[in-house]
Amino acid sequence: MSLAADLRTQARQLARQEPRRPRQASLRRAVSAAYYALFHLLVADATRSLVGGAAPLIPLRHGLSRAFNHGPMAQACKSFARGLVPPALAKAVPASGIGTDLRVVAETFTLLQAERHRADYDLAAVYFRADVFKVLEQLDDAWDAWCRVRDSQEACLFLVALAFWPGLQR
Amino acid sequence: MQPLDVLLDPRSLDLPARPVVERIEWYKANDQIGDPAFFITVVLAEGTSDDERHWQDLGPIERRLGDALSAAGYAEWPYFRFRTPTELEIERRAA
Repeated sequence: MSLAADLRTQARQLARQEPRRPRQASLRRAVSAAYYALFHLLVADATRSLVGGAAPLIPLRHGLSRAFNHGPMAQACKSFARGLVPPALAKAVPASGIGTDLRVVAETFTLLQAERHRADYDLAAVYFRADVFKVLEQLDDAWDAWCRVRDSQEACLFLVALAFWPGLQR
Repeated sequence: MQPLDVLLDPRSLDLPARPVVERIEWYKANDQIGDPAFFITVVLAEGTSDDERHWQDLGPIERRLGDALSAAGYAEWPYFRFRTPTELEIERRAA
């Protein structure tokens, strides 16, 4: 199983841990794992798209994964969620534009990243199990949407944007 | 531009019938990447069950509010939380 899928499973397990009185640590780590599941799902597909999926290229893909930064990825996702792409990529947008599935993925990435930030750093926040189930259901929707769109031209465009967002703003 | 306290009045929004939204609180701040954002707390009626708080129930509320903000010309990204009054009180005591 991929790291992304393992993280999604782990997030579900953490959300259901301590059935009566969930610990804040479990709920917070569930939120964090949910975000990282989506992060690694997209980064794995981006590196595969950029350098190929052959086994000898795996070390290169792993190295390239380190080049992805959370902030620029969120910037790219905010833009795609609103159907906007940088001018440098405008001619690569399919005639149908940025579709609903890709917008769902981009929007969910943005929301989960903010939630991960709160879960990991805002000690004043209180998490309830309903918060975490909502996050997990958003992740499931985004995951399914990505599976439907991942082989499309717009997905390829999106993955390039995730990798190179700052440079594409010039 | 329509003021936010008017725009985010649940009575003026065509929100789903369930779960019942009592009121909407918000504040403006920068998000985790430094962009201006709205942090919106949707206060649900006391006693709203977890069964009414699935994403399929809450998503339409987020979309309705997000669309209203966007249509009114607000460019800030909206982030949402859902709380009952009791949960809000627990959170405020903990802060």
